[in-house]
Amino acid sequence: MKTLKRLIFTALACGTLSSCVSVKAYQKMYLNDQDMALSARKVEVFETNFETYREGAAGANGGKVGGGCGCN
Amino acid sequence: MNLKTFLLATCLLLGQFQLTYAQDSTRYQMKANTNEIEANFLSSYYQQEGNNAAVTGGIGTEELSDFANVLIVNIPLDSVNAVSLYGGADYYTSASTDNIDNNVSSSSSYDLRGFATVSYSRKNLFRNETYGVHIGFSAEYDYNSISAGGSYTKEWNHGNSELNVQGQAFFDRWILIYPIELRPDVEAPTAQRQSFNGQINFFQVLTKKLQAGISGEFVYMTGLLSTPFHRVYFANDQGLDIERLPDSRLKIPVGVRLNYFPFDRLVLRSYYRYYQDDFGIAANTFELETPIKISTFFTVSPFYRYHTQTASDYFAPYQQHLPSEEFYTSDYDLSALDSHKMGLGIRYSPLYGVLRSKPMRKNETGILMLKTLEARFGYYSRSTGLTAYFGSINLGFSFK
Repeated sequence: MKTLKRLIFTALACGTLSSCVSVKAYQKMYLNDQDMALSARKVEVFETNFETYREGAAGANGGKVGGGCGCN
Repeated sequence: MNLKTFLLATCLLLGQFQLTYAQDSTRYQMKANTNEIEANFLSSYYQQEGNNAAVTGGIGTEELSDFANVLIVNIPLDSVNAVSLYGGADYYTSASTDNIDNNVSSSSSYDLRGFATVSYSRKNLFRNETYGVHIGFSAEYDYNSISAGGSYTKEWNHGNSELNVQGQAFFDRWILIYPIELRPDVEAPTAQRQSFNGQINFFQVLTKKLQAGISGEFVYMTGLLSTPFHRVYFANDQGLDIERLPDSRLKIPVGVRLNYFPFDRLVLRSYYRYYQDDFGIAANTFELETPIKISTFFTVSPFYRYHTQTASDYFAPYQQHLPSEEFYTSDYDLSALDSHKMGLGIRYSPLYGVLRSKPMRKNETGILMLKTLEARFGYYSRSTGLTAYFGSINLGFSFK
């Protein structure tokens, strides 16, 4: 649990400092590239599903956390 | 997490709003919906092999194949309202499920799962906020589920900061099927399962070429969390029982994404997740993908993922549990393991589409376009001996 707390606070602290950054819309050529999206790709949805079933750990990546037994 | 920890986390989060609002000198307005209907047709084939099937108590074939298809349609109703549909079906064959009843080749050796979710979202362009609700269902031969949820998203700092909060609940029901030799002697305590999921995501632009996201989630599950047709064989030939697990489980994953565009033709997409639950599993997952832009429209993306986890407190292999234990499982998905996934993604996405129809209306509208072709192929291996191959495609369409 200590590791989890450390991770949360480090991320929040970094986020607080970095929120001073303000990149203008016309400067976002690279950020708007579809490979820069801060989410898993749509085509990855099937991989996220089998990883959820084949590993005890799941979540925090937009995957499935309920609604199906995954019992096979 | 105690009260002090919670308050400190809240203060830090509120600090984000204060710092960024204070420097907002010009008015920012989030993007309105376009008049373009978008649809993605996704299809995948997955095949695995292994010899630790939970149906047969941690030994026996895990051979499984799954053919899955998903359709995602997003329909803007106007500049602020939109509905979307996420639906699909899986067809799978499972050698281990066929071993629920060894006497006959049961219908459960192959099955179809159908699922659909309908979502509605509304934007407030002046407040840079989006509200959403969704309902869904999932159905297969021994398992049915309905779900509902909501989400809230706020953008600020010229769109450089974004906070997203989501919540959803799943209400599931089993049709209880037990291993043939244990009928009618065993009984599961309930046939229901509920899952409650809360998620908070924060996204931040760090430089013109670097952005990060952090996701925190909690998942609380209650009800029948074991699988009624999983067998557990006890030590010293003391017989067998169905898998038994506690009736509640709390999962807490925290994930961080960091995406960087160091050169004109290369992107680095990285992801790290720490996971912990009260079944005793702690896990670390790391993933790196490096999209290489061969041309403006063509990208190849090698990827690698590493996962490691500790075993659940309730896991032991074949014939190592004792009947005196309260909870037991021989499901290797809950064992200590390392896994590796590697593969290649390709995407072809020309500016004016791969294929496009002629305008159906006189004002140059009513154009159906195949915008994107995308594919991913990969190999997955687990330290328990399980291996899998998979391939997926995505056809991205638009209509305006």
